[in-house]
Amino acid sequence: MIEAEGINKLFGANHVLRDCSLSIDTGEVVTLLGASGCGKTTLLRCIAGFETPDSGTITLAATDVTRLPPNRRNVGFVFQNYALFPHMTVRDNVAYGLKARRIEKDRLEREVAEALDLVSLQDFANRFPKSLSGGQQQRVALARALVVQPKVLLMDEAFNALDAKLRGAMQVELRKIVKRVGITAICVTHDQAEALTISDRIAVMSEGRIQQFATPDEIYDRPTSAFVADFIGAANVLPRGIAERFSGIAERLNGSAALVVRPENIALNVSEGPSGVVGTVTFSRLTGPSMDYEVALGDGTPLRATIAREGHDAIPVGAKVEVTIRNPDACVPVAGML
Amino acid sequence: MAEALWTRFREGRGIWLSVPAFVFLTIFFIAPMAVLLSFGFTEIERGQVREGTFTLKYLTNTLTDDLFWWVWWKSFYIGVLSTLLCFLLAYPLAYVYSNSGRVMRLLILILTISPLLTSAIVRTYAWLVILGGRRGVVNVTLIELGLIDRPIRMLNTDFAVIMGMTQVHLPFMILPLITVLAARDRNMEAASLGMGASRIATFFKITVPMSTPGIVAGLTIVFALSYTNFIIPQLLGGGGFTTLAVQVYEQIVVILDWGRGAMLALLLLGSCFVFILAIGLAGNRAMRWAEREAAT
Repeated sequence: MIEAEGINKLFGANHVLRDCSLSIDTGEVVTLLGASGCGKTTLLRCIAGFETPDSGTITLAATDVTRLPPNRRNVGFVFQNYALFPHMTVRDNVAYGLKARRIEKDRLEREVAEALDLVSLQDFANRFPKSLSGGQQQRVALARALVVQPKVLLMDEAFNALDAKLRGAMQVELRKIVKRVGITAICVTHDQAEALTISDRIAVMSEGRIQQFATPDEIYDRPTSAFVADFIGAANVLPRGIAERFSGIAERLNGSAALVVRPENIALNVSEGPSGVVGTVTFSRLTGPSMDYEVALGDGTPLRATIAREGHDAIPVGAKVEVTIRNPDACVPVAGML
Repeated sequence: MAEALWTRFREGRGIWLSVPAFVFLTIFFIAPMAVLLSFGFTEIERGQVREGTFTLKYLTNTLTDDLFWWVWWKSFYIGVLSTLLCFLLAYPLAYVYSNSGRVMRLLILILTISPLLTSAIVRTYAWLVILGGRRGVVNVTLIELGLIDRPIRMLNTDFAVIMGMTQVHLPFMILPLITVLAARDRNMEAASLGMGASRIATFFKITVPMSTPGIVAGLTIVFALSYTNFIIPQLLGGGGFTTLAVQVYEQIVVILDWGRGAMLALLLLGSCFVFILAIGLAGNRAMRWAEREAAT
């Protein structure tokens, strides 16, 4: 459905996108995930047509659109600040794209009503955007993007302006709406929880490159680099010298320079005597269903451990603990440190 | 009422900082203005103001004078035309400015502001050279090019006055437009294009309406300046040309009829306020969307 092939983009001497390639299937929801300045928004704007890549091609539904202006690409775009037209009512905002397509009045009214219905904003049709809450504004932006039945929905950091609680709820809501409509969507975010919530596949980006493009569980369970492992969820990236000291790890490491161990794959044991790998608890906190610990190994290497609270007595800061890896097979060897 | 004002005055932190300006303006602007305007309602005999008298004769004489209405209409239409001309010239320039790089922006800004460093009277005299008689720059050029046989009369016409006013007042239209256009949210336009609207539709439906505050400011300033300017009509309009502002000047300085002069000044000032208010109200209407309603 969407093919991006070898996209490069420079802003002056700044190489923002380096050889980015993506292939996205019809109906798939994909997230471009990365820290600010990694090029994710630029890649999205290239797909939308707001930027033109310096090299590479972009194909939408088997049509090469690389040089097409945005108004001829048939994509829906939701902006970071929504870019709702403040001088138009909710209805006029949603009707705008249909009017630009000179759709007859009856059909226009019907489709606007359907779009507002989809995002549960029927009662707000005559209000101006400024009088709506952040979540409502976001839904207007979504309705406005979807009403023209675009081939692709593109969303740029669309949840940024919402407070944490509403954000989570709107992400679930968005995923449901997008799946109900069945549209192919690309979202941009720096928030890994958002990426995990809304995506079928995630493209992790840094320094203008796509580091890994895979399903959320594959990204979490089998990150291809220390960077990806650290970006999605928490990760301990242990250099080989330290990783080898844990029992049952050597064959898993298989000559790699480093090993990714998720915090929940680490067990801490107070009761037994100092054998194996030993450390000191330097910090602990309650996260709700589990406890988070920070442990300093003998040589000072910090380690994060997350332990379910059920059947576990909280370990005080300062306690000496034996550190073990619960499931060596779940550890992932990577080529280098962060 | 007074109590509420006093409370607001006391609560308004730092409002006393405005006291020097307030005192200055009261002594040197408001008081003389009030004295002048009061002449419009006072008996004046042989150049002597007869204090304590009150008369409406200047008001009724003026309002029933056909000449007054004719002159008012002239002032009004000259003011409106030069304001609209300013707007039509300034908007594209401000738009170009907002879409330009640093160097171009600086160039436009310098070209806009530098005329303000010269006195408006000097710039108006320049128009005498440009438009004036047989040897005027425009006529000489047109004749040399063979486009016309005889010089066209341009000086001492409405055209000359409108051109002069437009040139002198253009910066006051450009600057507020530049301010709003340069600060605008370009994502609005991207959104419009992304939804399939053409560039022209985007300009008229999104860019222009959203620059309303700058348009209102520019129209207000330029109309007030054009409607009340008395130098440009005198220099470029010629002897027979007159506007309300010119009349005020002539009545008070030349004819020494202070009563009528004061009344004309009052009517000029009052009507100017009415028009400014009308522009402001129209702007408010266009800006209904900016009012904040309670979010639900």
